[in-house]
Amino acid sequence: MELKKNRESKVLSKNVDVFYGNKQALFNVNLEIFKNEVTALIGPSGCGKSTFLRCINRMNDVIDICKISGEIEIDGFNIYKPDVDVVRLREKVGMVFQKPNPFPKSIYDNIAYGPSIHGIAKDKNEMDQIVETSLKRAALWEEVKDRLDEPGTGLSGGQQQRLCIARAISINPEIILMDEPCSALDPIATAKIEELIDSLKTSFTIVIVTHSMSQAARVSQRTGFFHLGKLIEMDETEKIFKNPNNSMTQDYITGRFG
Amino acid sequence: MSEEHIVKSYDEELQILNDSIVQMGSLTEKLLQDSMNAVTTVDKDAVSKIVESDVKINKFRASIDQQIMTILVKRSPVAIDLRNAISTLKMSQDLERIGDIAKGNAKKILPLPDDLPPEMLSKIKKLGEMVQQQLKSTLDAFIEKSVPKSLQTIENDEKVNELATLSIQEVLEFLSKDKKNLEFATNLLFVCKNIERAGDHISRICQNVHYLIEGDYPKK
Repeated sequence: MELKKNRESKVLSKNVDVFYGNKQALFNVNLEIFKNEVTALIGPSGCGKSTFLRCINRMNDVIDICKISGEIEIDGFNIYKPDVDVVRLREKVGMVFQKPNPFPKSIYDNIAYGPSIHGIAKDKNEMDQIVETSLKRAALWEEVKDRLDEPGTGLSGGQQQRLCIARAISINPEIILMDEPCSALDPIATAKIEELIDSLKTSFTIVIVTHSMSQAARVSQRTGFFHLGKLIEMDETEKIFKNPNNSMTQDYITGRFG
Repeated sequence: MSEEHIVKSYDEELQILNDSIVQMGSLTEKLLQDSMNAVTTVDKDAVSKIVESDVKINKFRASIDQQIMTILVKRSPVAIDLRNAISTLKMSQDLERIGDIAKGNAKKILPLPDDLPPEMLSKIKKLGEMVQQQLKSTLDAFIEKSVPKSLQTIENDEKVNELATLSIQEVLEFLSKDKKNLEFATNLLFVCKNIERAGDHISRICQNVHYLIEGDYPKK
């Protein structure tokens, strides 16, 4: 196994605990995510992997009873400092959800919405350019270029998910969080998204939560295994799936418990 | 590690694969023994039975290949299960080669005179016994999933090589006494070399047992 050299740290989690009311969801999570790599988070339902994902763009802030301690640094900067502008943070850290959730607007407006509220495009020409580039990067342009005025909700499930990815990348984030992005898709649509993830990693840092172990093995360079709110093991994906260090990881990925 | 998968039929498939390797190993062990007995007693009548046994071993190999292919396709094995599939695939290949060597050696005795002087075969006999013991230890290492046993067997291969060299010298000495021995003595030289190669295959099986358990090959 060849270890990647000259990795650049992008996200660093230090002693992160998360509570929902009295219930502790994450216990002292320490991990590092590298730039321009795909990091997969796996583990059984309720293990805390999605909770951790949502800590990276402070999506948990919207849940009143949720309390977080510890630090998450992006490029060395703690995003939980009191003076952090969460809107600016989410401009940097985009998110794609399990179920495709296009806005009830045209395909064009789905993409244009983010850049317009963040004031990214100067004029209509520039916005057209952003829409086209985003759809091309999400490998959707050829399929929708002649019907940009049609509603995004009219697309197939796989196309809708690529539209959501195009929407996420339209504001040029640095990190894209994906929470089970293929679980509602058929194998062909899944393959297209996986191919897309692979091509996007040259420009973005991607963190993906997935229930599919084979998907984690296919798309990621590093994999973290969570269980009961603890990060049990994090390592090169190849190492995790060939010879994990922890017997719990082995039991989970081989289908001996879950 | 828990012993059982959530999917029971996966466990059954792995168990059948494990049993197949053990059975194939036992057959190969028996074939090696029969072949060495035939060589050291110049028992030409035993050759046809040995050839038949080798066919059985080849069939085992084909069946094991199929089983592993099915596991790879159906289960997408990872971690210990992946290593199990890969290492047993290689082990069955080495066992089959040992079977071929045993068969080949038995065939080599056909041109030998019936009244071959026993002193010419003494070291070959010892060599054969040593390699049989090596194969037995290898199968034990696999069954018990024992790293120390696999490492010990790999180390012992050096002794096999040394004894093979001595056996070759013994045949050469005999050959030098009378040139008319040349015709059949060369066959015995091949026998020595082949047994030494069987030892190498045994050593490779042990390396795969080590890989199966530890996830890496033993360092030399």
